[in-house]
Amino acid sequence: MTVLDYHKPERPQIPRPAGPAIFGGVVAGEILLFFFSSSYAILALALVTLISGIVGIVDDLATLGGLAKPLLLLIGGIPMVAIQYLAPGASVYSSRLYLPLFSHPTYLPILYPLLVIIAIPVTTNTINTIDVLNGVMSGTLLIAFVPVTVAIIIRIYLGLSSIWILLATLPLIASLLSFYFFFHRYPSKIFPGDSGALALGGAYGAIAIIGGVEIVAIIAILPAILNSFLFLSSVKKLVEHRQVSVQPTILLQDSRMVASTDRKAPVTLVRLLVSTGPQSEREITRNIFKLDAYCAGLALTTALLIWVIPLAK
Amino acid sequence: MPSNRPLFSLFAIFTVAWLLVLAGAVVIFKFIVPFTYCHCFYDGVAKGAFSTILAVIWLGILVAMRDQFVRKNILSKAQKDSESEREISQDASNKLG
Repeated sequence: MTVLDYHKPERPQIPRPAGPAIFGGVVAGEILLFFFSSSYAILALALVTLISGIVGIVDDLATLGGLAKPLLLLIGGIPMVAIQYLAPGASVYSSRLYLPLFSHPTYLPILYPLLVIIAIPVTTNTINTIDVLNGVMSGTLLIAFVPVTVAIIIRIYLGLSSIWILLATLPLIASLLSFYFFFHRYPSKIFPGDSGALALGGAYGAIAIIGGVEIVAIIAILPAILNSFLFLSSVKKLVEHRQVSVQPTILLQDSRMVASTDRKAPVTLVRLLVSTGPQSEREITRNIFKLDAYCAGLALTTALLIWVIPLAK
Repeated sequence: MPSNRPLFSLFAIFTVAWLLVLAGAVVIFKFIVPFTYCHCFYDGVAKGAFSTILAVIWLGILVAMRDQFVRKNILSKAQKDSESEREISQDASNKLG
């Protein structure tokens, strides 16, 4: 399958989706790690990635509606909760939420499993909505993994997490690195498709939960979350990007983008970035990465506020 | 050459969003959720209601910032452009007249 890359002057046809190759590699790596570690958290991570990827394939083949997709993705969170309850001694998640400036975590035995189930459709859709320009989705996730990995290392040092959780991030980071640098960065050779974006989003959400670094992971993808929030709050309903009648940006003849001045146009991160003048795809991508890096810094600060500063007091 | 103004404004919005997430998480998960008045149904309802009110206020702040950004950077620019276009066409018609 191929799709037009609208933001290039020559309008090339780009193959998609790379999703099955991406999540196939991640799932294979995680299952291999599961056999070495016997960690049910890693098995749950593999299942979440697989289910999110399969929903993504369905979306690639027959576009799912704005409501059907998050509902189907709710299934993605079920393996984590099911394994936690069914397997004796399986510590997929701890139900203990560490908050900034407090040394003792809050125990949420009823609320946390519900949050786990909701977290997967939220992260998958959030990552899917940032997949707007060449390399943005994979680049954003790569930058977000820096504070998440540092937070997991801090937790291992404090004895709150296992080394296997850190190793479980490796297949994901390796596939993201190879996909970004060889295929997805500007100019893209392959698009991830919904299967790629949803699988990687699901895996990111699962890592945040099994690693116990939920708040750090949320802050690290704040540009994607805000993009999703801006879009949903301006169109005021769960709707697919393709179903929006007024586009947020206008494509000029030289392939640069400028903000639409139509009051009905949805508000997106890209529309805000090009609000003062036209920018090329490469310039917009670079600016999104600057925002990602800033939020990665905020996420690192959050990790210090949660695990380092309360202990130093 | 596009200015960096929107980028700086977005840095400010992200900083506010970060503070809201941290403050919201602490207030909801440290103070509202663990607080137990009675082990009854209304306790859960009250917790849900307080958390929702807080989340709505927080989202309202973000929506207000979004609207301010769009008004300042996109809609006012569009208005200025249409005014300058009107002035140019007025000048042209005066010259012709």
